[in-house]
Amino acid sequence: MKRFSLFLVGYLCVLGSLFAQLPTQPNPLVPQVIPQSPSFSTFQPPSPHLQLRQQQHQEAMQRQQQVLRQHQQAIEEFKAYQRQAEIRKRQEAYAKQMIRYNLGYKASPQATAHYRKAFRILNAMLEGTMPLSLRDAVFAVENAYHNDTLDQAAFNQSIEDIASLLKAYVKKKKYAFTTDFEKNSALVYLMQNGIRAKHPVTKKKTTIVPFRYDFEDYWGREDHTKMFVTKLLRTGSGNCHSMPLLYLLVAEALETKASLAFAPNHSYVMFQDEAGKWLNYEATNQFMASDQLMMGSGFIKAEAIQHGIYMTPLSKKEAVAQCLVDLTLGYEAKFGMDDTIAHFVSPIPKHAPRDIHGHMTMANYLTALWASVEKQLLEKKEDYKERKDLEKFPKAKRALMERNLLYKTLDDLGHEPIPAEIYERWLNQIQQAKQATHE
Amino acid sequence: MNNLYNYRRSFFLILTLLYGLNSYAQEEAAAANFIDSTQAPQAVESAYEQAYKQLVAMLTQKQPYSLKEAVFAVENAYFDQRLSYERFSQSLALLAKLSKRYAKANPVQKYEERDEAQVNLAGAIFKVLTDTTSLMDKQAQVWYHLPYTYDFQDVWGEQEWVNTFVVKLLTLKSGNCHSLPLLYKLVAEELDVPAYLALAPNHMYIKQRSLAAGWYNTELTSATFPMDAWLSASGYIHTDAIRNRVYMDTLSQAYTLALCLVDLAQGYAQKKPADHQAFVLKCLDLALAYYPHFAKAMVLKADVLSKELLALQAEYGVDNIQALKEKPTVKPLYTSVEQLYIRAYKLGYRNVTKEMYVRWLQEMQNAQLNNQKP
Repeated sequence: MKRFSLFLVGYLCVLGSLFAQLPTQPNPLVPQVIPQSPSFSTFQPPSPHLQLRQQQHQEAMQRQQQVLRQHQQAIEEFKAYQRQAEIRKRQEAYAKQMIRYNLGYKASPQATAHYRKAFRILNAMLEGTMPLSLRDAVFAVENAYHNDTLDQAAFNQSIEDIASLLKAYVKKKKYAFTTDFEKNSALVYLMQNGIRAKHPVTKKKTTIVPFRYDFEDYWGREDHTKMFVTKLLRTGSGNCHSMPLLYLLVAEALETKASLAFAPNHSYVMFQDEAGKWLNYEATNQFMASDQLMMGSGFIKAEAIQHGIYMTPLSKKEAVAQCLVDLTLGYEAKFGMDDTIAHFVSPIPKHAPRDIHGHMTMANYLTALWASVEKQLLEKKEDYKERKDLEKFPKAKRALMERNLLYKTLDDLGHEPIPAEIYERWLNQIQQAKQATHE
Repeated sequence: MNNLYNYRRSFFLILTLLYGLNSYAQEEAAAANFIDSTQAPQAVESAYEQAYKQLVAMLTQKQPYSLKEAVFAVENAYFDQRLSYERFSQSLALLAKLSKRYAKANPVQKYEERDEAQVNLAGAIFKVLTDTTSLMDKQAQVWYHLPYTYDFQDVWGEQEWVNTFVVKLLTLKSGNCHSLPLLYKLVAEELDVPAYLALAPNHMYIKQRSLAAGWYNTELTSATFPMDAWLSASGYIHTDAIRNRVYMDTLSQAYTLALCLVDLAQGYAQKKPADHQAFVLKCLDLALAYYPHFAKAMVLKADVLSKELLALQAEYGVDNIQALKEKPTVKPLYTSVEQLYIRAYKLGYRNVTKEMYVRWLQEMQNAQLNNQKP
C-alpha cells in the first residue's frame, strides 16, 4: 500500500507538473519524488517489482526533466520577448524625443540625378580635373533644370554663330578687331544694335536683333527658366542674370577678356579699356555705367568694394563657382530647400572665397536648418521653451551659433540688404520703364 | 550738482576767453586757453624730438595707445611744449561728461538693438559737438553749450597751421576737417564708444558701426551722415582708392598714430621752413612703415625729396629736371621720387583744389537741408 501510494504520489506529481501553468517556479514537490535518497536501497531490498518500478520511475523522471527543459525554454523565450518589447518601447520613446540636425532630401535620388551630374561637372572644373569653360558650366546648370533634355551641340552652335557673324560683320565694315577692347566694343555694339551679316559657313544672310530686357517676372520667381541663357537665345529677351552671361559666353567664344561683376541683386559686365581702366557695361539697358552710378543705384558701401564682393571683376574660376549658386537656385525652385543645397555650395569658399552669393545661400540653408531644429525642440522637448533654454542642448546651440556667425561674416564683408524704401523706389522706376515700353 | 557747477565755471572760462581773445592773433588765442605760463618754451628741435619719441613709444607698444596723448604731443610740440595736458584732458572730460548726460536725458527713440547704449552715446557726442545744448543749474538758470562749427576762413591751415589743431577748436569753437573728426574721436575714446577716422581726398571723417544700420559715416564739418555712394561720387574718390583702402576705410590704432606722425612732420615743416628735411623724412618713413598704403605720406615724402632734386638741378646747372635721370649719382633719388608719385596715383590718391573742396562741403550741407524739408 505504501509502495502504491508512493507511486501514486509520484504519478500525480508528474501529472500535476504537466498541467501546471508554464510560467511558474519549478514544482517544490519534485525533489521528494526523485529517488535520490539512499533510503530506497537501505530500507527496501531489491526485487523484480522494484526494478520495474525503478525503471518506470526513471522514465517518469526523464519525462519530467524534458518537461522541465521545455518549461525553462518557454521562460527564456518569454523573457527575450519581454526584453525586445522593452527595447522597442525605448526606441519609440527616443524617436519621439530625437532631434534631426539636417533637412534630409526632399526628392528621390532619381529625380535629382541630373542635378548631381551638373554638380560633378562644375566641381571637376573647379578642382581642375576638367578644363574651365563658362559655356559648359552655364549649359550644365540649365540642362539640369530641363532634366538633361537640352542639346549641347545646338547650344554651342548658337553661341559660335553669334561670334562668327560678329567677326564677319566687323570684317565687312573693316572695323579694328584685334585688341580685347576693340572686340568688347564690337560686342557691346552687337548687344545694343544687333547686326546683319553673311554667315561664313552657311553663306546665308543672318540678322541678330538687339537683345531686350524682359520686364515680366525679371527675377524668375514664377518661372525659373526666365534666368536662363537658353531662354534669352530662344526669345531674344532676358534679365540681369542671362544678359551678362550671354555677353561673357560670346566673349569667351571670341577669346577676349571680359568679366562678370556684381552689385546687390544684380550682375553686369566689366572689361578693360586700352589704358587698363576697368569699364562697366550694364548689359540689361545697354550702356556704359560709371562706378559712381553703380555704387549709388546699387546701394553699395565702401566695405563691399574693399572686400571685393561687389563692383569687382570676377576671374573665370569665380564665375564658374557662381554657376554653383545658380545651380542651387534652380534646385530650390524645383525641389525646395534641403541638404543637397549645402552640399552644392560647399566648394565655393575654397575656390571663390569672396563670392558673397555662396555665403548667402549657405546662410539661407542654415536659417532653414535652425528653423527646423527649433520647431523640433519646441515639439519634442518639454524643457525647451525659449532661446534661453538652449544651454541644455549644445548641439542645437551650435546650429544657431553657426548660422549667426555666417550672418556676421556677411555683415563684415559689407553685404547690406537694400532698405525697403529704396528698393521700392527702384521697383517703381522699373515699372515706369515697363509702361514706357508698352506704350 | 557739483558737476553742473563745473560746467558753469568752464563755460564761463571759455566764454570770457572767446570775448577777450577773438580779436587777437589766432595763434595766441588758440594757445591762451591751454598755455601753461609756468613752463619755459623749449627749442623747436628738442620739443619735436620729445613728441616723436612719445609717438614711437606708442607705435612700438612700449607705451599704451592713447590718441589723447598723441594729439596733445603733436600740438604741444608746435607750442614749444608749453601747453597744459591737464587742461586739455579736463576739457575733453567735460565734453564726455556732457555727452553722457545728454544721452541720459535724450535717448535715441525707437532703437531696439543690443548696442542701444553705444548708439545713444554716439548720437549724444554728435549733438553736443554740432548743436547748441542747454543745461539747467541748481538755481534753475539755463546755460548754453555752443556747437563747434566749421571755419571757412582757412580750411587747410594755410594761413595759420594752428587752425588745424584741436586746441584751437576747443578754444575758438571753430575747426576744420582735421580737428573736428579728431575731437569727435577723442571724446568717443573718453566714453569707450568705438569710432574710426576715415580719409577722403583732402578730408577726414568718422566711420562707425551700429547693428541696425551697419557702417555709417558721420561728417562733423557739415553735421551730416552722408552715404558712401554720395561721398565717393561727389568727393572725387576713385573706385581703385576704395579697393586699395586708401580712402573710405577705417583707420586702425597704428594707422591713427601714423596719421599723427604725419601731422607732426607737417607742423615741423611749418616751424622750420628752411631746414626740415631730416626730421620730416624720419617721421614720414616711420609712418609709412606702420601704414604702408598711406598715400598722403607717400606724396609728402616725394614732395620733400623733389625739393632736394630741385636743389641738385641748380647744382648741376641743367635746365630740365628730367636730365638728372642721366646722372648716375642722382638717378636712385630721381626714380624713388617718381615711383612714390606713381604708386600714390595708382592707389587712387587724388588732390582736390580748395574751390572744389569748399563747394563740396557746402553741397553736403545743402543736401542735408533739402532732405530735412518735408
